[in-house]
Amino acid sequence: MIQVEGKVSKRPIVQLKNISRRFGKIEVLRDISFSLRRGEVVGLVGDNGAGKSTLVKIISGYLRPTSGKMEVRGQEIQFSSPRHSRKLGIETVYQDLAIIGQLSLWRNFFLGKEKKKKIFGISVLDRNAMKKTCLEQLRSFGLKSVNSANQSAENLSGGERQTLAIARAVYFESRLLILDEPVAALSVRETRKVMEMIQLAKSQKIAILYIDHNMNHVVPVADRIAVVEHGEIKRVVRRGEMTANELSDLVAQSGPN
Amino acid sequence: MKLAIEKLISWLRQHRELGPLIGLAALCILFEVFSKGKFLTFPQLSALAALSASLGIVAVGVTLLMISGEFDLSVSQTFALAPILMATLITEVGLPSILALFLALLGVSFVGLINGVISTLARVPSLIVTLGMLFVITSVNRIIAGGFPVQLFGIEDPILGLMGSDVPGTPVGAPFLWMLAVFALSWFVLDRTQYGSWIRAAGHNAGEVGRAMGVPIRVVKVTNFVLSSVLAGLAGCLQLADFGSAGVNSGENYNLLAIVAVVMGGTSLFGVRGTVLGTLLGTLMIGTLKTGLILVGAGGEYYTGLIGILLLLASLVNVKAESLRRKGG
Repeated sequence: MIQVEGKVSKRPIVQLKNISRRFGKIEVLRDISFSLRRGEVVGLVGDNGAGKSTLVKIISGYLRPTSGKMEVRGQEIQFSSPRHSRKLGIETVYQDLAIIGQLSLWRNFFLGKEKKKKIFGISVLDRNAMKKTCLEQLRSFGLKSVNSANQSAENLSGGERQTLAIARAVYFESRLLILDEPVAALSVRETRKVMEMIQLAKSQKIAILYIDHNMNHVVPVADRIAVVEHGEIKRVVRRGEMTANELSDLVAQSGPN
Repeated sequence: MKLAIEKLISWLRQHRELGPLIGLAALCILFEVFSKGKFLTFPQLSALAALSASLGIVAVGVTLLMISGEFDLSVSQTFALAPILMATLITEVGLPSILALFLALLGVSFVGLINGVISTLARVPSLIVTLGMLFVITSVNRIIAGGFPVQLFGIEDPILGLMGSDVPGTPVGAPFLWMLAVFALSWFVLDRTQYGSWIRAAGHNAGEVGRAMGVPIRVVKVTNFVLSSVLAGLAGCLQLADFGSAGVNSGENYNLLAIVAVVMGGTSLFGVRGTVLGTLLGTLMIGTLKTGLILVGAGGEYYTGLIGILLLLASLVNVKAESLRRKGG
């Protein structure tokens, strides 16, 4: 077992200890230990079926581990749902599950964490406050083309959708941002924009777990890169230790024959 | 020309109630002309209101469900079950009407609960679950009612009066006002509350994005199934109070007519999008068609055919609008 550890002096935001997960007789994750600290980008790479997605689902509350412990800011946690993990500051941006196109920008931005106010004792949406905040946040993240928070999210490009999802995570002061292949379907220009967003989130001291197949995306942004193979972390690569090509070779060697 | 049509559809997509509003206005004008000025009269419109009340309340529940990506085919028999329970509790058990109403609605809420639990937890498509439930409740209704209509004739009760009498001094029945109240309340819930946002999130991609955002999608869907059953039951009880009797066939075809009203009102067949105002207009279109045809002396045989044509037209616009959306139009 190899542990992905940063500097011991800083307390981790999230720490996984010997996490395993079985689906019937198949052990998809085995003895994973993992920690993420403030302002740190950790890359998670590995071939298809290596167990990356299962790990993401465990950290974001979708799945429960079969064994092992998870701590958030030093406190042992058993997530019961993605809602629970969001409450504790873990935001996940999925490639296809970031945005509901048919909904307006402000409804997307605040989905699951809507601002409310009381009118005659009845809890109603604080629509104006949400629209205002949403527009301000999107503009601060460079979405200058957005004129109204009322506009439908389906008119956004792929990169803009990911930007909205990242802006949302930053706004809600997430402690850990999980990006699951956020640029898989994006153009070069949009990918660059999302990379800038990641740097911006990092500068705001958010821990980031970044999953991508393309090593050219991972290597420049990650402080550490964990290579997952057959449900285990096989190696941890530190910044500058390997080029993207060398890392690709490593993953290719570790993948299924 | 093609571009102009696509632009029109795209614009209508942003203003979903305009399509049904235009459709309703066109029908009204048509019947006004063919009836030589007899359609847009107070007696005729109050008949339209009476005909629309029950279906409208049922359609509200179906709207919320369809926006959250589910269907309920059992509402027509739930519509019959609640008044059968209520009348039986009043006449056989001797319960006060308010308690009988409460217990009847509680009873039908279990129908929704079972529909919701099987659909969301066992992941059986709701069309199949509620179709099965439709047959089950049909049997239950026949067993309880014993094949005869249940009746409340001769019972003087202020609650029943509040539910079914005409508004004093007018020919407008209380059920129509109840329907407007249900529409207003559901508009408020859908548009102004957190639960409304969650209903829409539940309709997208089986609720996956919503779940990722921490929305309790299963709870939302099960709640909507319960609401659908309770509203269908309430509509049935209001009709019982209005007519004084109810039977196993009281809500015949309401399951399909409610879907027609919802689709004609612009609610997307693919979930997320839809408004209760649109459903109100869709319900009024169905009522207009029925009363208008009677007025102009056209036989009832035309009614179902025309409903079918309107549904097909509305569905075509609906599907076209969604396909344009997916292409980014």
